Amino acid sequence: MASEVKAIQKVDEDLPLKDQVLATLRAKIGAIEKVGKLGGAVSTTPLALTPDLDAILPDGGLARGALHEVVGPPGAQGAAAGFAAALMGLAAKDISDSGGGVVLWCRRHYDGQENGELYGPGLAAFGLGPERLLEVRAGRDHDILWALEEGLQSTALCAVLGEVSDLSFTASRRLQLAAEARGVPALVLRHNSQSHAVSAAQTRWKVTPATNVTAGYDMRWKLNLLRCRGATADSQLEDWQVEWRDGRLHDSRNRIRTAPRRFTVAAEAGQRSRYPTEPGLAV
Amino acid sequence: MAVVMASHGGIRLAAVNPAAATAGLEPGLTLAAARAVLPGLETVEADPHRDAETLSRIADWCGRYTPWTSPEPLGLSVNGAANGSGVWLDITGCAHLFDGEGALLKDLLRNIKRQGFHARVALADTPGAAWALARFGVSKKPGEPEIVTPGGHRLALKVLPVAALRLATTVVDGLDRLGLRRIGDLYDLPRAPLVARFGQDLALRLDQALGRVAEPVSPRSSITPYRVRLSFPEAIGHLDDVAAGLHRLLDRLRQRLADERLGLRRAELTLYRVDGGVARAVVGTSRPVRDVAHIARLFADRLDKLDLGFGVEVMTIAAPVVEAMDATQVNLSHDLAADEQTAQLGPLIDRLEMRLGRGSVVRLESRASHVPERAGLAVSALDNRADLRHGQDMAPALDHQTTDGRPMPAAPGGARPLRLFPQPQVIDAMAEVPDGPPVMFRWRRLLHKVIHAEGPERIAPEWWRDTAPPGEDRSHLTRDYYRIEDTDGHRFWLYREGLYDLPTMPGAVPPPPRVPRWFLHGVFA
Repeated sequence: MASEVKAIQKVDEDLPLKDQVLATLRAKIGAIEKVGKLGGAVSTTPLALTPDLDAILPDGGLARGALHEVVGPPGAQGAAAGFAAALMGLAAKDISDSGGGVVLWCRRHYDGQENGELYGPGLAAFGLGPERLLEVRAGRDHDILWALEEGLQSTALCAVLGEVSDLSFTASRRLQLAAEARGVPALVLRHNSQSHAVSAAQTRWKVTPATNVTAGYDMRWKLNLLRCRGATADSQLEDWQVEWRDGRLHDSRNRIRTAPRRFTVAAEAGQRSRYPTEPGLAV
Repeated sequence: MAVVMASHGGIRLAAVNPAAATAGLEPGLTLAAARAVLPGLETVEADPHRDAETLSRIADWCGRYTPWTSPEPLGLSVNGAANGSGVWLDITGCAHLFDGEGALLKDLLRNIKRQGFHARVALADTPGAAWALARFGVSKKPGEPEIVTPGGHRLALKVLPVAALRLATTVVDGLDRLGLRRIGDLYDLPRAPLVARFGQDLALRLDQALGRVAEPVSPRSSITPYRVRLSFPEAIGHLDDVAAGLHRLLDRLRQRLADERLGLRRAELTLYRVDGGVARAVVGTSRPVRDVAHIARLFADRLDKLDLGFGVEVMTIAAPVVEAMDATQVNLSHDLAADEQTAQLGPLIDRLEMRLGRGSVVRLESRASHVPERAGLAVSALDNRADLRHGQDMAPALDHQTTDGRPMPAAPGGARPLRLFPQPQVIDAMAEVPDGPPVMFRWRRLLHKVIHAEGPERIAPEWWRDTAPPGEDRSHLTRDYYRIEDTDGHRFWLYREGLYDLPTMPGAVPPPPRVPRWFLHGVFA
C-alpha cells in the first residue's frame, strides 16, 4: 500500500511540464464550464460567522446551500431583521470580490406600513447598498415563497430572504431543496410565530436584542441556536452575543458591560450631528 | 322572425330573416303592419351594443387572415340595418399565405358559416367597391365570394344600384326620381349639378368607390411589423401543443429581430379558436430581449389561464414594442461569472413582476439629502431611467464612490435605522427636561422605558426645496432625533417636532408655549 502511494507520488513528480500545463488548463476550463450551472461565483465554502459560532456549526460555518430560519420574539423586529441583514450582507460580500453579488429581500406590501419600510441608508451599513439589494413586495405569504423559489432558480442571486408569518413543512422542504440545488443560502425571517414548528431548515436562530449596549453604533444581538442539523446537543443550550462591526460579525460574549446610563449629554452645538464614538468621550 | 326596435312612431322592424323577407317584410315597417302581413311573426328586441360587440369580436377573429381588420362603424350602414354591418379586411400581401385570394375568401366564408353567421364577402380594389359588392353584388352562386379583378371595379359597379354607394336614403330616393338607378348612370354626368343638388357626399362616395379618393381604413388594433403566424391543419387543444407552437413562433420572431438587431419589450400572443373566440396574453420585459426561452417562460404563467375552448386553429405573436439591441460582446476577462449574473438579473425581475404586478420589485436608492425620508427612495427595478424621469424634483442619486474613487462617507450623524416608517408614528413621550430625550414613551399601547438615549441630531427642513413664503416661521418643521434603547434592548429612532425655545426679540410678545409632539420614525437593527 505504502509503496503504491510512493509510486504515485513519484509519477506526480515525474510529470513532464507539458502534462502539468495541460492539468492547469483543464482545471481552468472546468471552472469556466461550471459558470453556467452554478452561477460561477457561488462557492461551496460555508459562510464564516464568528469563531465561536463557527466552532459549533457542523460545517464550520453557515452552510451556503441550505435554508436558515431567523425568528424573533414579538416586538424584537429590529433585532431579528438586523441579524438576517447581517447574514445577507456576509453572503453578498463574499461574492462581491469577484463581481456583483445581488440579494433578494421579499416582504409583503403592508409590512411597510406596519413595521416600517426597508431603509436604504440603514441597510448600507450591512453592505447591502442599492446595487446589491432587490426588494420584492408581494401580497401574500404564498407569493413570497414563490418569489424565493424563483430567486433560487436564477443564477443572478447570491442569497434570498423572505419575511413570512408562517412556514409549513412542505414549503420549507421546497426551499431547502432549491437552496441545495443552487448552493446559495435561503433565509426565512419570521416574527410573532411559534419557534418550535417542524421545518426542513438547516438552522433556526432566535434573535433577541442584547441589552445594555454601550454607546456607539454596534448592532448587538443575543442568539439562540434553536435547531441545527448535525450539531451536538449541547450547542443548542448555549446562547451567544454577537455584534456587527466593520462589516463583519464579532463575538461579544466577554465584553465588559458598562453600567447603565440614562443618556449622554448633547454634543457641542457645532457638532450636533456627530456622536461621540466612545462612551467616555461624551462631554 | 324579425328584430324589432323602438323608434319614433312606434315599434319598427330593424332586421328580418330570409323567411320573413320572402313574406314581404322589410326593415322600417312598423310591427303592427308586419303582424298584419305575417301574424305568426316572432320578434326579438334589438340590442345595438351587443351587435357592436359581436362585430368587433368577428373583426378580432378575422385577425387570423390579416392584422389589418376593422369593424365598420355603425353609422355607416345608412341604408338601414338590412344591409347589415360589416368588417373591413385589408389583405394586401396576405393572400399568398392561403394560396391566393379566392382560397382565402372561401376559407373565411366556410369558417364564419361554421360559427352560425350568414355572411357575404367581396374583394375589390377599393373599400367602397368591396362594400357595394358585398351587399348588392350578383354572384353566380349564393355563398360564393365576389372577387373583382384588379382594375375591374368600375365595370363591376356599373350595374349596381346607387344605394350601393353608401348614400343616405333621401339621396337615393332623389336619384331614383331622376331616373338614375344604377351607379353606371352617374359615371358620365357632370359633377357640379350633382353636387349642387345632392351634396358633396354623393361625389365623395363615388370617388371613393372608384378609387379616385383614398379611403383609409384604420385597423382595430395597432399594426406591428413584427408579427409571426402559425396555423395548424387541425385544431389543437392541449396546452403543451400551444407551448410547442409558441416556441416555434418565438424562434421565427427571434430570427427576424436578430436580423434587424432589435429586441422586444412587449410580446402579444393571440390564439384564434375554432369557435370564433380569441384569447390573448401579453408580457412585458425590463429590457430588450430576444431570448426564446426567457419569453416563453414569461408566457408560461399566462398560458394556463387562457381559454382554449374546443381548440386553437391559428396563433400569432406580435412584438408591438421593440428597441434596438446589439449583439453583446462576450467579455473575455476573468469577470465572466459577473457578466453572467447581471445578464440573469433582468429575466428574474421580469418573471417576478409578471406574476406579482408592476412595481413589485424595487431597488432602494440613496439620495443626497439630510431628510431621512428623502435619503432613501424605492424605485422600480424595471425603470433604469427613474432619475431622469423625476427631473430636478429629486435629489441626485448618491454614487457610492466620490469622483476620486474613494467610498462615500457614511450618512451624516452615523447610523441610520434598518426600517423607517413611511408615516412617522405618533407616540406619547415624557421627557425629564423640555428639550431633552424622553424617559419613557408609549407606542402601540406598550410602555417603553428608556435606559439609554443619544442625541439630539437636529435635522432642519431643506429650505431650498420648501415652497413656503419667505419669512414664515418654519422652525416647527425642525426635528430633534434621538437614538433610544428601552429596557428590553429594542432600539428606536424618535424625534421631537419643532424647536423648544424660540429666540424672541426683546419687548416682543412671547409666543404661546407649544406642546411638543413626539414621533417614532424608525427601528434599529
